[in-house]
Amino acid sequence: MEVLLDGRKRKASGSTVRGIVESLGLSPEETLVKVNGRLASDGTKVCPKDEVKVMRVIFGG
Amino acid sequence: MNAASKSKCSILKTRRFSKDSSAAHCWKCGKAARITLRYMNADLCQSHFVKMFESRVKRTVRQYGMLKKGCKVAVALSGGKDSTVMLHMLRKIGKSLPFEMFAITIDEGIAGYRNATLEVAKRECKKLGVPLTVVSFREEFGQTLDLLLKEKGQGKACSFCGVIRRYALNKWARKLGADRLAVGHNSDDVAQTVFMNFMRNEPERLGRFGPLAGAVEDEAFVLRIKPLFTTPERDVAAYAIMKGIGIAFSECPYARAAFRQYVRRMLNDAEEKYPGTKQRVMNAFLAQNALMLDGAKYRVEKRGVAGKVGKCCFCGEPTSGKACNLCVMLGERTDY
Repeated sequence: MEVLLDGRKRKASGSTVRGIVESLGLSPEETLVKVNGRLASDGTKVCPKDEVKVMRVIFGG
Repeated sequence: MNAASKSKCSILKTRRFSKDSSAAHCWKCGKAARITLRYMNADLCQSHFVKMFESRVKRTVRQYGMLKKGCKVAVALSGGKDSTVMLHMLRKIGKSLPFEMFAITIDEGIAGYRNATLEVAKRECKKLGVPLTVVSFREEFGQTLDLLLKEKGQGKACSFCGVIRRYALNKWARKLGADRLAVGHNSDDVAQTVFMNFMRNEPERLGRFGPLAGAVEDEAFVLRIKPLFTTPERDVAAYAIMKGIGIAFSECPYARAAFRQYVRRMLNDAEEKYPGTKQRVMNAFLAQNALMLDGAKYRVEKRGVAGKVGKCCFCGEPTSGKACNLCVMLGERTDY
């Protein structure tokens, strides 16, 4: 399925929020995910019609 | 037991430990979970997460006596997520414990980075009615960090920036009459700092690092308080998003190559395999803090560095040596 990462569309796989983050090679410790506009927990199930936005929230500085 | 009670019991039994990937409900109330806190092995809804977050910050402030009625707090506000959330929390705490609060933002002049966070700082201060003073590197020291690093090399960017910011924050907090300087260090920062200082064999530095920072007490140093000391960094980001605090999630261009980034990645790898690692490191540090403070005083005496605070022979700012780190760093001065 397609998700938004840093404002760009990326292909991801997985049926849960955690699965999607891992399929993008990202650390769950450094990301938060919105599904249909709201933050979602690791175990939230997602389907292709959901709007998924992956946000990297941990940075240096 | 009626059907509603049975259903609630069933939720409470299964939701606390979310090993089942279909479980995406708050373990406290059963509503849709908005965040997984792996270090607690729990899913929480927005309401319960926000309550937990705010309680933890208030408890930290209370436990370490960070604030008292009528105190004057300068908030080191970079406009990043930690300092901005801290600003909001201090405003909230101020409703039941009145104290004076104003913000100081240090503008290092880092191109492509600082302007965005500066806008956040200005906007949030205006929203909360907090006076803001912006201190410019260029005006204060004659050049921006970018120009300074062109001259000195980018290898020690974080060290230079850290020294200059601490110097400027302390000076301006004192100038503005603050008796506390609130900085936004979170528990991830704590775990990283502990590891960094051990990996560099500089454990004595940890004697000056705690919820109330500054092992050396002197009126020239404004007491630093860290309300987010026990709060994980990811929780800070989640709170900002849930409360609609518009944060610019961006990275300082100099941070990528920093040693701290390496340690951050190392700790986050460990956290993924062994959830709760970072919190345990933070708790272990707090437990050992008193011992480290004694150790810091011992090392300072052994190395022959004056343990008392004096004034820099060049600029007059407080220092435990003859010259402050800033003057030594900026001028490469050795003639003292």
